[in-house]
Amino acid sequence: MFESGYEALLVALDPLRLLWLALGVLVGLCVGLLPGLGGTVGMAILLPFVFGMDPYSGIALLIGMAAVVHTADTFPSVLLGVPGSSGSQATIMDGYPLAQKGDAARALGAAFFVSMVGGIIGAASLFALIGLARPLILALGPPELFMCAILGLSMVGVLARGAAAAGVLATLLGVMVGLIGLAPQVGQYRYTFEEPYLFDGIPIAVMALGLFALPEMVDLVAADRSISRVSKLAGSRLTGIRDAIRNRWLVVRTSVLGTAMGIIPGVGGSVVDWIAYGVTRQTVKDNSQFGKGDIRGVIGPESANNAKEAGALVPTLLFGIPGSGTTAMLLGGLVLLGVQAGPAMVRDRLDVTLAIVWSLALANILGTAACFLLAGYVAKLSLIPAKKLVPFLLVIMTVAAYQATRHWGDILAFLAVGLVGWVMKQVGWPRAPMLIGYVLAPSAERYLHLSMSLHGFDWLLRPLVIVLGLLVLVIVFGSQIFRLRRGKGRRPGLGDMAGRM
Amino acid sequence: MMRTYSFPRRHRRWFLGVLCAASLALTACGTGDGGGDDEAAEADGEQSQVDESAFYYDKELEIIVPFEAGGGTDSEARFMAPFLQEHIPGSPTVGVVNISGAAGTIGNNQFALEREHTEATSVLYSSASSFLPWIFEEPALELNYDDLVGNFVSQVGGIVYVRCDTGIDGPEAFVEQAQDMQWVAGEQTPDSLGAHLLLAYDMLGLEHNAVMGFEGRGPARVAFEQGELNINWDTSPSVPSDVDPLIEDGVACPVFTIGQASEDTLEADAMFSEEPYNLPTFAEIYEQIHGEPPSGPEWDAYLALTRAGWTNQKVMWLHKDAPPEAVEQLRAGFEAMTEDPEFQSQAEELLGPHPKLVGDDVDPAVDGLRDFPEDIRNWIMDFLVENYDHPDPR
Amino acid sequence: MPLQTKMRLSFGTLIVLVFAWTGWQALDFAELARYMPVTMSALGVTIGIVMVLTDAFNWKRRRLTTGDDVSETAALYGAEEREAALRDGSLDPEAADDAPEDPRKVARRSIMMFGWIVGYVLAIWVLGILVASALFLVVFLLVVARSGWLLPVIGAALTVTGMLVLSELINIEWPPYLLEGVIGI
Repeated sequence: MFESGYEALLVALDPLRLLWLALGVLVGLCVGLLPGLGGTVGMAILLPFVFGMDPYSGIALLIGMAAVVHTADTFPSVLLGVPGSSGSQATIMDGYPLAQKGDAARALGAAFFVSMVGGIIGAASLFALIGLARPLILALGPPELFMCAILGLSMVGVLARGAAAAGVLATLLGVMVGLIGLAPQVGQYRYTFEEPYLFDGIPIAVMALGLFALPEMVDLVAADRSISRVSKLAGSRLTGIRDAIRNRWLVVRTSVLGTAMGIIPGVGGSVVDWIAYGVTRQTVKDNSQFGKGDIRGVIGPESANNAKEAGALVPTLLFGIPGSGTTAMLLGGLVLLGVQAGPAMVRDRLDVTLAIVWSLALANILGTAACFLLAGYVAKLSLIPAKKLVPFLLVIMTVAAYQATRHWGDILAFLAVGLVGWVMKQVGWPRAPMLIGYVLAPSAERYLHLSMSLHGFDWLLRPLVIVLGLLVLVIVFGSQIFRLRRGKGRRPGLGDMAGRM
Repeated sequence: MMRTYSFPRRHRRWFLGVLCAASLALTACGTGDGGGDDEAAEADGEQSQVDESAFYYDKELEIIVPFEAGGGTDSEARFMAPFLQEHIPGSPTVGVVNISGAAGTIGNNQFALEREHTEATSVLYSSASSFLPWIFEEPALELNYDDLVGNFVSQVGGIVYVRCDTGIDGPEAFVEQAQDMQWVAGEQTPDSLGAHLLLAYDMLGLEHNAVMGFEGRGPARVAFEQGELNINWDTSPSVPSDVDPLIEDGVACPVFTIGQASEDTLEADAMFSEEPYNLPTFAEIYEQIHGEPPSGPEWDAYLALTRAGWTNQKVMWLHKDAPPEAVEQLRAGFEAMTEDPEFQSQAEELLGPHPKLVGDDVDPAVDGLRDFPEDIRNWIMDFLVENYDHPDPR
Repeated sequence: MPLQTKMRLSFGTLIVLVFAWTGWQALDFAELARYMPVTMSALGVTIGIVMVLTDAFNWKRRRLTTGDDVSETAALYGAEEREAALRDGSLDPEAADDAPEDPRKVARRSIMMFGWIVGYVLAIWVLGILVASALFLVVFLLVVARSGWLLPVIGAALTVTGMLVLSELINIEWPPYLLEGVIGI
């Protein structure tokens, strides 16, 4: 296998293919950089061009794009507190507070560096696992997938500390929004008011922009200040890299976690960054600064979200079941290149699989280099006074929101969700749990239903289900136990009310 | 609901042009072996003989695919687009536009309501998944298929297989033991293409538990491989890559093929009735199990669903308000496309051996497709409402 | 009662009503589609009522409802805590220069900003996104940011150019609008 791996590297290093790869990376960086646009938009841009290309070049183009979306999407997450795409939702938790402290460049530097490391670890894991992954995925039936969704939901317990009731309510609200549209197991439309826009639910980009971007823009103008509360940028990109190296084991840990979550079909991809964030927060020493600008809160999810892309390719390539919109479209792109995903990808088309692995690794290096060069300039955005920056942001966000489905409903939903998000922000309801509930509602419902109809209540006794259940308990109650051990809780005072979102 | 445009508009061509130029430059240096040069050569050939009096001369033709990019219908449309561009008289720019959502309803509605049909620059490529909601009287659907004209029909085959560890290793064993087994099948929602299979299992007298809520054929196939399901089906495009390996490994044992509907009989399938599958059709297996050929309303329903779901699975539609010359020239384009030897060889590889209907074969096929007598429609909906909790649209 | 507390109590009540409505609606769904929304709505109503009551109780007892989870970046940040702290003397008014200003003023400015956003969306609806964006940028920068002419003009020009370039290159599409026939971009 190593020999064929080397041959595949030679194929991937062909200058023409590197050119295609670079082009893919360029498109990926653009769609990642613009908040609200993600891998699916990138795929839509590139798909028309792949027909008739040789498979390796086509793969370089498509994978190059997909690999770096989660590198570039860190910009809006850190600088604006708006998830740049679905993969960098959790980065805002600490990245944005860091930007407010004037540490934007440091956060970006760390994020890009660990993105690259995560991406390479992911590619390496893909290489190592591709031959072994089939039984792994076959061990995950609907009950296990349901427990994974619950594991994601349990992150709410980590995120909403000090606001348990509001956190749970926000999650439930998110779940109800997630249920809008066609029910997964029967031809029933729910809460659509017969309005075709709602038939497929509110798109995630609109949810993320509405919940986080609009409230932030309103408040920035209302408070009349710049994103950074200090007038000079402190840390540099290199400080960020040093931070990352100091936390190297965290990087490795969350990268592996990201790959593993990415492999889980159907559930993993959408919550991997939250889980990485939660795990980081629960496993490091002294997590008191999390949510207020702890660099490790950026390192964790950012290592995981690039590694995830490699993991998500495993079910996509081996079973033809895509884990996300991006990989779904990648499958279509492969068909156009004359490659049918399926078990044959390991048996007969190993060359293609290895080309994918190398493209992933190379694209991550290329994308990081580009982002790194940009970071210094872009970080300065956080110093511009809000009244001069916000109008431009509003235009960009509105355009981005409209790209979600290209329906007027996108803009209206953006406004409506934004208003709800703003009120939530003012009255101290955490918004991240709402996003998690929204993202996980469909899979939780689907897999619970499948588990019940296939196994009755017997599924509760499956070994992996029990393990995952215990893990959920540890995550939810672990912090309480930890905190109890540390001593009695303090009464919250002014200085303690940090920028939790 | 995701709507993605990927229309190679003329003014965006410079983008592709730059790409091609770059790749050409590299190829010229003798460093690459990419497809850039072939494409460019082809493009030159295209430009040479354009009929300037043709209806579609200097026009842009959009193929609306009411599904996400990357799906089966989308891949087929994207595969055909460059051939159509070459063969439709006047060589229009042909682009694929995905307007997905709500099982095709969003795309159908946009085609019906937001396109200028007299200009005939939009065609709809429907598949069974977006056509069946019309049969099942989906209240949100604004498109009436009776207002459309078919131009091209693409057929798909269906295969039903069971887990070999049930002890059933092929059609003969299936005939003997199928009725003694407890089957578990996985479907998406009852009003999808799966309705047809549910009906088939029911007619064969299989004790079956149909589990709804799978995200599509892929996840259902994984559940089958996991042993959660023991009977499953797939469409012909995914069989070579995904089902054949399972058959080779002795996990899946194929038992019958859906068959293809003609006037009022079920005919052999171009792929699954042949070597290496050699499967009996549903009608044959029915006769072997029950000792008599299928009949009655459920048989009529089966045939009608076969017609809509498989035999005429994908249809390229134009609105009937389109000028007659547009219809004529579009049909000519499809006819020329299917005669192109390059298309034939690539289509065989990509889409399978099933026939494509063009020219005079199209009208009777789409008329048969839309001819869904009220009593059959009602019978099917009763069947779904009573057995599978389908919300009654009537 | 501070504005923030009022908002929190009314928002909580509204959400309880929303859950009640979603649950009631769900009773009409097909059986398989009913379980999830009914369960979730029931949970929502229960927890929502408990929370609103707890908030009200906390307000009566401690004059504090928001807990420690209110976001620092919220415009109304800590308005209530500030009042409570000033009242019980734990915050020295002299030392409170970093503390937020009067929430009512901030709320008014926030509503103004929402007004601007709604105005922008209305402009998109009538004039199309290209014209509306240019117009919005110029007017907002002149009126709210009180900048000179240079930034608005250059900024709007660059933004619109950027939008046009994007739409050419990567399939960005613009919403349909009322005067499309007249303006036509």
